Amino acid sequence: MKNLMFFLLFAFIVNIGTAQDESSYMMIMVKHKKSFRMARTVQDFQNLANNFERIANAESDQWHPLYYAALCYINMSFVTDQNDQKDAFLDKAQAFIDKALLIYPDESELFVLQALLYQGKIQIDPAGRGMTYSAKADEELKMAKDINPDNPRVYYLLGLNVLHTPESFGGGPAAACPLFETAIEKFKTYLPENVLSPTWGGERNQMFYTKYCGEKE
Amino acid sequence: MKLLLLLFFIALYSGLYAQISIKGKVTDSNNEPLTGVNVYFKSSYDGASSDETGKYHFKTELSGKQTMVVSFIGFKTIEQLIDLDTAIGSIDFIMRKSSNRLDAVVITAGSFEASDEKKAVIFKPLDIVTTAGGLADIPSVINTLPGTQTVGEEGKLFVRGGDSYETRTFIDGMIVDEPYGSTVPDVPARGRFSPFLFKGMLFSSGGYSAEYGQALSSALVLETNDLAPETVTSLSLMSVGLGAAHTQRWDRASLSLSTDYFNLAPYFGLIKQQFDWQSAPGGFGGSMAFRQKTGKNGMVKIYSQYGKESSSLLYPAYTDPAKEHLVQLVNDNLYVNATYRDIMNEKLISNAGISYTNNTDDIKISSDHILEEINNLEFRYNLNWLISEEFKIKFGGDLWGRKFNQKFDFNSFENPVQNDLNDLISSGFIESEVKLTHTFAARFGSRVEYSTWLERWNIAPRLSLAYKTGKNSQVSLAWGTFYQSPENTYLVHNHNLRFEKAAHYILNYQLMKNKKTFRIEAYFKDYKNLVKYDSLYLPVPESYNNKGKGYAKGIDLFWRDNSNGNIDYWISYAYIDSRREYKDYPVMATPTFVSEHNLTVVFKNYVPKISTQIGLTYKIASGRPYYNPTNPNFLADRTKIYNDLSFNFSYLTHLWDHFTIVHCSVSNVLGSDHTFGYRFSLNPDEQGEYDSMAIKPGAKRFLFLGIFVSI
Repeated sequence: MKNLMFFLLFAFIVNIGTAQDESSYMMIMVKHKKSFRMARTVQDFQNLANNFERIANAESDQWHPLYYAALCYINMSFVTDQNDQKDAFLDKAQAFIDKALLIYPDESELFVLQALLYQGKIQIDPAGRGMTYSAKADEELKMAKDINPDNPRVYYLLGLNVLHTPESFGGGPAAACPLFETAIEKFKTYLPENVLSPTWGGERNQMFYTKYCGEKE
Repeated sequence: MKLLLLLFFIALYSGLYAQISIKGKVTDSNNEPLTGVNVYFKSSYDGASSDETGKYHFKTELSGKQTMVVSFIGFKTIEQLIDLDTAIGSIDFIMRKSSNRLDAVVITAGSFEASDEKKAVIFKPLDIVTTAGGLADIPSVINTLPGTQTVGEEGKLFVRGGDSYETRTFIDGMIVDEPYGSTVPDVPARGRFSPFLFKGMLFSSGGYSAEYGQALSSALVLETNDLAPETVTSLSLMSVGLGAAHTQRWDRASLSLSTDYFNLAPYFGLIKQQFDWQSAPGGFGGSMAFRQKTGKNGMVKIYSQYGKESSSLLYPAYTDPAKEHLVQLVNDNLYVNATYRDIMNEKLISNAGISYTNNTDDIKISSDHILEEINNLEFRYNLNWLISEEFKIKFGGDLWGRKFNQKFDFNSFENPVQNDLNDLISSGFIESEVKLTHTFAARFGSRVEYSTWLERWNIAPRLSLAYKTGKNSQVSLAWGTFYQSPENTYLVHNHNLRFEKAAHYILNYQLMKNKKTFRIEAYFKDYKNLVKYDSLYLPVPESYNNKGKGYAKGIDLFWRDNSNGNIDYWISYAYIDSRREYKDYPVMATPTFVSEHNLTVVFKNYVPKISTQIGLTYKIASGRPYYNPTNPNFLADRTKIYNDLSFNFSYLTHLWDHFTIVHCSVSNVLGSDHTFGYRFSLNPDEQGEYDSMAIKPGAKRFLFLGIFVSI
């Protein structure tokens, strides 16, 4: 009898232990994801990236921590004023994306993220890299769209790609606006798969739309 | 009792989760605090980022021996075992800079690299198409870099006192036998390969890696594109011809096909030429590029191109400029290159390749007929072994089978003469690159070659050192021995020749900051065993020997400022002092292709408002030596100063909704007189005067117009 009780109690404790692990993963991820929305400086993103990297190392079968770690580094590349750091941040982000794709090769968001990274590469040297990397970004976005045609970030980034392509190459605001418009529609109806699913892009997309496409009645 | 047991478990449970406080400080090797460093226990969430003072602090519920990880971008990750059961004070870490940082030391002596991927490069592949006067020709644009000579009648690369054959072109590591198109005398040659084929270029004017052999002076290393990014069709309409290309992209493969036709006759009809063309240069060609990804990280690349071109003109005889010969040339060239590259794991990269060249020059001079054919086949394999961040080894081998056949059918001879050359050059190399510290790197290696035709070996050691003198500057040193087989025309007649030899000594300083680059390089080159013979006009093959020698020393300066947005310019200046006694030179003399001073200014401006890129290139070079039989001193005369201003523009637009580039380029806008040298008759006339002829370009200016449409 005592043995049985001992066993049950032990099982109970162990159960608490693992249950807590799983819920703590979600809780901590949600917390960091919230701070991500507040992050502005390289330092903010660096600290967050570190948090996500630790989680990624501990949770080797989850792609979300890798995704956010990469997203932080890509953002660092965008916000830093030290030009010689930009490529290094993107290289770091690339390593996370590569890992995430091994875990989950069919995630639309990972292809979107890869496209965002390529856009980061263009930003560093538009003249030298523009042609190659905007084609590469396009290709990634096409794959993202094939997997999930309702992913609003696909259209937002496609819009950015077109917006930043010189008009003489078939780019510019006029060509980008329909894409931003589609993105707005998709953002409205977008249903995140779970609390950890990416939600960024809507506001920036609206901002670009307002700036370049004006209000439509 | 039950209660007791429960209490016991609760105690045990909370005991298991007792928290320990972990704190400390992270600094770099200069004791400066590092901010944002990730400090944590392996495979746990427990950790923190260091603050502005380098301090970190976090709590953990772990116990026993745990691995602590300290990681930060640009620094080497530290892993340290910590026993959490013993009392822990402050745990401090000193991080060392990683040697594969972007600002880490790199070996640069002697080389200019072009790449879109790498950051610390001076040159971009796009520069080839946007540089005025370059006409999208790789050698012409490389000619705007210091260390090269302006030799207008040849159009080839002459590097640091070396003849054109001393510069070797490599595509994906494989030797290119015929990098230039064949031309009739005094008409500059163009490179055979389109700049759009390559994603990276490395031009080395000396001291290059042991990976590259059979090049005495310089290596031009071209790296082909990977998968084509997208399916596209393009058409081109030019003042000199037509072209069409199509690229098909699949998920893991791409295929590009192109064909072109050119004919200078309409252009020559409009613009008067100095040369007496009987038939203007014309021809057609085609190419195929196939790419296939294999496995996880493998890539197969196959490239092949074929071209046929012909031309003929009336040309003054070498021996007597008053007499004219009809010179006819038909050239046939097939080039195939196939490589397989596989990244086997993080540490091993394997490269295998095979290339084949078939080149035929069918030359008729009056009633004499010369047929020269090259059939070369090369196999290559090498392995890159990245042992650690600091230590890399590269080694490999190469078999280069060379067949050269020469057929003379002289009117004056009764029977045609045939000469054949069959050579197999086997070579191997090993080279390692060591980063001793973040600021000091060394590359050393050696190459060994054996030629069956020469029946000789050579061993060529190479060494490069680089030391970072500041955040943005570094000093490099290079030394090496370089060998090359004599040119086929000599080799085919004589088995007893040996490898020509050069030693390079290079000292380089480079400063790169905020998209500005300054480079200065001093060098000394010592040539030995160059081919020598008695007379240019009546050489006796048996007398070919390796008694030639020479030297070159000089200073190259380079400045590029790319910091002004749409305006970009660079300036190259080179001073050279070079003499050699080779071929028919009776004494040491500055060779005909060397100008003491060379200055090039390249300017580019993209004007977004009118979607136009404008380019200007100005070149000035001091006079080149030429042979004057009336001057008792050999090669003591100098031509006039050469100066040339070239202009180009590219206008980006749409034609019927298709992206279109309109390109226009004019050389020698100012119409300066270009004299490359003089040719004298062999014997004086009755008055004791030598007939002479100035070597000049076919026309003062060359105008090119082209429209390129993507469909």
